[in-house]
Amino acid sequence: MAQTSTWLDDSVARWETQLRKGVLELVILLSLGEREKYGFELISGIANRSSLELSEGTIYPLLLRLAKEDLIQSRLAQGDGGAPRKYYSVTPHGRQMLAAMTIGWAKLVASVEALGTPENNQ
Amino acid sequence: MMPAFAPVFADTETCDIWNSYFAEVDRLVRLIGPGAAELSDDLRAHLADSFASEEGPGGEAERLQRAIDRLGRPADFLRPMLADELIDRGTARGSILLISRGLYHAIRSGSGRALRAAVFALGYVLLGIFAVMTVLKPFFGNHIGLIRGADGSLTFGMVSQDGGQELLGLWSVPLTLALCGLLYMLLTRMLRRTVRTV
Repeated sequence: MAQTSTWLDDSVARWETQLRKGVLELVILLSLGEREKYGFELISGIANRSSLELSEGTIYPLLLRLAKEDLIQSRLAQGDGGAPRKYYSVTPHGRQMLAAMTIGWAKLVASVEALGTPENNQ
Repeated sequence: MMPAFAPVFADTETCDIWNSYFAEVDRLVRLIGPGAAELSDDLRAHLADSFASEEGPGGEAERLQRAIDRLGRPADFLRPMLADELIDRGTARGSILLISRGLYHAIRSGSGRALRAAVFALGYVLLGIFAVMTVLKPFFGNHIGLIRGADGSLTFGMVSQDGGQELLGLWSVPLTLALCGLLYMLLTRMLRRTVRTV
């Protein structure tokens, strides 16, 4: 019984990890779509406002990739402590992508919810 | 480019933790290439912010260690990027050396990426064996190829026993080498496509 429970926990944890990886791009664009943010602000903001348990380091390679794909851009500005900070924001191309991804996400959630509802309730 | 930044620490132990962490970051970032150079500075700025906001108990070194634990081990988040970069460069140039290094790092990075990399690595190894057999065929004519054994059995590949008869002949060598080249290109193209969808 305990073995079954462990196996189930492991499987769910793996599935959740993959799911989180899949939505991370959308989550970053959504967060930066509100206003420009520096790296730590972006990551701590996502962690505080969502239940997504992020490994903070994974965000930076992703930010680099999003910048290469022209979905986000960055600029250096003076930070609070005097050291320059890199602020990220969404590009016009990124906003188009975000709009399309948001529609896709809403469709996906609706589809999954519809499947989770018993047929006689529909 | 943002200048390298480090907070001012009161004790040397904290300095050592910081320096040791970024020695590993810098090593991996250098391997990834110039496209990732800014990552090192981004991570420095992040860790400095994270350390400054750390309000838990303990001394400076413990607070820095907690901030590092949240950021993660450099190999865990930089190795997948290194693997993708090497495979991307390797498949673009057709370089088996870069591809091998990329697959090695992809396998070490774990998860589904490792499984895909292992499948491709196996494909390249089998192809390599096939190519080596082809090159050696002119020197071991009666032991490599399609061999009819003394007992009449047919074997394709390598046989160690003497007394067999090779049925294909040397004409198959250029054909097999061309086939190896074709399979190499196909495998490399598939690998490139796979990496782009990760």
